[in-house]
Amino acid sequence: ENFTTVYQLLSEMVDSGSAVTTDTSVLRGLVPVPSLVDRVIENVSGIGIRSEKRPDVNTSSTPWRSQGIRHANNEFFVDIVERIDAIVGADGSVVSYDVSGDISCKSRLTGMPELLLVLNRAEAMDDVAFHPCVRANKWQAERVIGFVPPDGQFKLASFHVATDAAPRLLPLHLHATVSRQQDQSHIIEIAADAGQSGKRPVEKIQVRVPLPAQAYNIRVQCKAGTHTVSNVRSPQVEWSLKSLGPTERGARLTIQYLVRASSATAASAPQVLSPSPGSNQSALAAFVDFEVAGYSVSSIKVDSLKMLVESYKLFKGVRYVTKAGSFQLRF
Amino acid sequence: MAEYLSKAMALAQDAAKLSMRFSEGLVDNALEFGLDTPGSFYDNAEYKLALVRKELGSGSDKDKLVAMKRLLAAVAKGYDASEYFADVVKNVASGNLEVRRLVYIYLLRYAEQEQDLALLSVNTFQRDLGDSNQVIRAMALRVMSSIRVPVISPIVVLAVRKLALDRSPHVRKTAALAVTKLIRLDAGLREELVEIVETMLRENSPLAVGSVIRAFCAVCPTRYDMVHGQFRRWCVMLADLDEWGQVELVKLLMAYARTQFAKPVSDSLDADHALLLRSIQPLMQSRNSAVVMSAVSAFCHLAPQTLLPVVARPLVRLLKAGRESAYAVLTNIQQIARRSPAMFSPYVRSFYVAASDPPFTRRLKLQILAAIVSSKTVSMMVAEVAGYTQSLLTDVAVGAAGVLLACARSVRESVMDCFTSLLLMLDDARPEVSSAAMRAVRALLLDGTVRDLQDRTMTLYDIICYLVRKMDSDKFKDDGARACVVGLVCAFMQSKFGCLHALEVLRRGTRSFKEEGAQTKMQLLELGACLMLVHRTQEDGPLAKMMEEYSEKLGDIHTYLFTLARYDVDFDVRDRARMLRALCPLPGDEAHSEQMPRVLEISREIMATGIDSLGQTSGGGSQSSQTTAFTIGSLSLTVDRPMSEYAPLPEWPAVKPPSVDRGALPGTRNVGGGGSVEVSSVITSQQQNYPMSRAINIAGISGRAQPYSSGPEYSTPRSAADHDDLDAFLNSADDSAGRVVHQTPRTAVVFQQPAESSDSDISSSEESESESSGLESSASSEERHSVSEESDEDASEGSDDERSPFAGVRSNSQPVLPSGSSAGYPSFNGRRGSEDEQVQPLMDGTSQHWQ
Repeated sequence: ENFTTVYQLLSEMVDSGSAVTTDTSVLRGLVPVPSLVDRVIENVSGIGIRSEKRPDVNTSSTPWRSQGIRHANNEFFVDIVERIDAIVGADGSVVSYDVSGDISCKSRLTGMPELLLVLNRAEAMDDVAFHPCVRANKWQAERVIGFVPPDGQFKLASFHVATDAAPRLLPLHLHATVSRQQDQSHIIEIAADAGQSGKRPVEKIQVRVPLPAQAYNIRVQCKAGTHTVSNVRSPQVEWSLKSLGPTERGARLTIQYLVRASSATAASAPQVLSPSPGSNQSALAAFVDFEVAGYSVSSIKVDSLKMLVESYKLFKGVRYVTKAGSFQLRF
Repeated sequence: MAEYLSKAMALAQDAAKLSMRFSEGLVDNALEFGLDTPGSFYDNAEYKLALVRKELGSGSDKDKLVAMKRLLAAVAKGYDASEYFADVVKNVASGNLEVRRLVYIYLLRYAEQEQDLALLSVNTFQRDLGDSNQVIRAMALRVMSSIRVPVISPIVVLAVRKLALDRSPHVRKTAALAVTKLIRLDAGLREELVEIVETMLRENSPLAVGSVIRAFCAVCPTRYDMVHGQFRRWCVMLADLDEWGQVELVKLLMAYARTQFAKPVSDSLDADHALLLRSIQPLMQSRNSAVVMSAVSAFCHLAPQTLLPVVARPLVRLLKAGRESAYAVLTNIQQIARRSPAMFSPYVRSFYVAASDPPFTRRLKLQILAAIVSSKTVSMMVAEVAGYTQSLLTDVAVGAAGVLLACARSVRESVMDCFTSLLLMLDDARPEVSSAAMRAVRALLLDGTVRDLQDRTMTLYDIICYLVRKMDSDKFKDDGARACVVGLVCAFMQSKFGCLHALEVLRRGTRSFKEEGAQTKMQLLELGACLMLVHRTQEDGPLAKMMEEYSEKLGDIHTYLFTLARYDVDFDVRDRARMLRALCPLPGDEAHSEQMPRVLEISREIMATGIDSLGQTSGGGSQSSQTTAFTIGSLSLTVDRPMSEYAPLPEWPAVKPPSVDRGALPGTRNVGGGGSVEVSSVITSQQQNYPMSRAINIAGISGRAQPYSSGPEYSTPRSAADHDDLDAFLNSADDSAGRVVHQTPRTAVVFQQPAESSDSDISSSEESESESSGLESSASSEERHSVSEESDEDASEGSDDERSPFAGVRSNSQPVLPSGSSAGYPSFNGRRGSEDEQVQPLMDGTSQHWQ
């Protein structure tokens, strides 16, 4: 669908093999955005309204924001999403731990406002990448994010939190025990317990365990949540748990499977170096996903959001989410 | 009541009818509506192409739009729609902008095939060039310049010339891009275009500068005289450009700086050079990976060593940008880490292998880990890597052996841990893993890293014992690994125990000779020959007595072994046997007694090279064989071969270029050409003199200029020594093979009599780096060893037959390394010629001893 729009976008974005512009607000000015409403009106009235709107491009010094934007309700929302990238050893020890985050905003503001976003622990961010609208020197000098926001949704900044000194907080504690019974029967037990998550429940927990390609007769048990076994290319167990409160008892998952005897010969074949983890006899790791709403693991919070230049009332909203980034449990 | 009921019935029936009709109508509408969704155009475009001609001819824009969508869908799916070219071109002047855009797309696709018809459209474009809407003007120029028909190029040049002075920056941008397309179409226009570009360079709008730079690079990338006047302005403007423009500008300024500034060798930096670096640094905080990468590249190639560490953090951040870009970033990190590993050591954890890493990322991560090991992080790293050795992924385990080797070599405290882990790895069931571990063990034993430990836990001969016992194990089956063990036994047979071991290994090896692999067979032959040599030459040495005891058995084994080898299936083995037999004749053979000493010496060398060639054969995967240094951040670096448009950065100028007027900074007086000033004073004086108004203070809103007060702190480079490193580093960027090759210092131990020490000059004759340090050997033999270090690379594939027998000199005695030597695996890149030249004189000087 809309392939012609894609064509038009591409012809604006890339000129003779080199990227020209990838800014969404500029492109929006150049290529009309198809919408269902437009299409309905076109079909009903028989005339396209799009043809009457002349495309224009904003050549001011703020190419991301055009002049004369009007909104009935002036709102500005800030989402601070933090992601924990961690490798957790089977015994629950933290092998590597890294917190990074994004500040995404949704702006519906009239005119040309200039905003100042003050964070409480700006010094904790040791590496920040900004949207072009942010004044870099203001940040350098005062650790304040000053910017003229683009209209609509955009990613204001992404940051990395200095974690060397900070305690390594994990909202979810995980342990795994892998044992091999008799000859070909493997058992994987995964335990998930609530960790430090600011007294909030850990939600949308998903544990994905890819099993070796030769695994069969997979039996899964779990005390809480639901599990599915899929077998697309290699078998995989998915365990999902809606929520785990801070005081609840931990949840357990037990996977038991057999490995085909032929795997032994396959392993000694020359393609052992092949990349897919399926060529190995046992599972490597579990990939974990979760989300804690209203909790910021780095405790970076928005102190204040001030608006300069324009003078109307502004509705502000802030949300914090901590998610699992690339979160792995090694066996 | 009944009446009421029937009325109700009728009402209900009516309602039902009505609702039925209504829903029918809805379905009809929906059907009609559904037909018009673009998805259906795409799905069945080719069936309805017949309608296209009629629709295009109709007066309705809607029909035309439908027809164009069909055509484009057909084109997208690979159908040839060129037969409708004439009908389409008619619509090039359509009033409906969307139709026109689609026509343009179609036009560009087929203009080259239908050149004559395409010319018809040019008139319309020319009219559009004067349109009041900037987007229309730009679009017309863009399409016109994209039509690859040489005939119209003069017209396009005219148009570009006109629109280069347009009041809209958007149009000027398009004009600049048109220049790049024109030069590609017709190189004969160059002079004319250079003239246009020269006017364009005065561009003030950040929107268009990026494209102007691109045009400049396409037309006359080396006309640095045109850059002089703009340099300072551009530096200040850099932050305000659009992202792709920043990439282009940084690239240009990099090349400019490499030709116009002196290499940063002393404490002082040219004022403009400092300005450039200071302007580039904020780009590392861009959200666009390409911008970050170009800024990193600029720092790597322009900044003094002391400023380099700022690139580490942004690079590590880019690792999270996704699988493919992680790979590209890792190749760059690897390249940078090779030159200055220390700056990545705080980020060691970022290079830990995660289960989700694809194999190409895993390999690079392990190589980087091996490169950046430092005393601070080593304990953490060894613990982590020891876990990898049991990894189920074979490549990770193999790579872990390489990392452990690197750890042991660079940090003395970790040697024991690493070595123990490696020994444990030998038990691994996978032949790749155990042989990789064996290679690492062998390297550690041979270069003497482990020897210092023998007084503590186990002696060298305990280790050899352990390894020899491994030979009996069922698991230890890899040919390369077994050959390594035999080679080690051969290398350490100087003492009595070593010699006994050697005899025992030879005896067992001979018994199981036919089950061994080719490499092991060859090693056994060499071991046999070596023992024979020791037996024949050591008339009064400490080993002589013992050898006397075994003399008869040794002779028997030797004869038996060589007879077996003579009829071996592998021709390499037969060859080796023949050669060794000539050097070390069997009892029945004709002996060249007068040449014996020389033969012995040569054969010793062969032994040595034979040992060295081992371990190479089964893929030294732990070290890359990257030879050329490409510009950091370039595509060529990522794919490891020069791409077609790759242009290496120019070298720093040999003499300091004259200072030129680099234009004024915006809003300030021009202070003239940049003299050479202390770096720190540059920064401060610049801050006072040029209150740079970064246009990020958004014009028209805040209205006030912000002083550029927050320049990054530059520390003054500490000493000249730092810069020497930098020289090497920067030179190597463009230097081919020689410098950047993993230089593997290998030790050549030369036997010499003390009296002849004057002859030792020859050992340092060819290469200046070789030093005869005259270390006292602890080995039992009384000779004095002079140790010379040469950095030669082995060319070793499978067998050594084709290599020169003089390829390297090594004694059979315990090798003595200059302390602190950090040899890697000998790498693959052979430079055989020089080796021959180098080793030859050594031979002459040393052979006398044996007479």
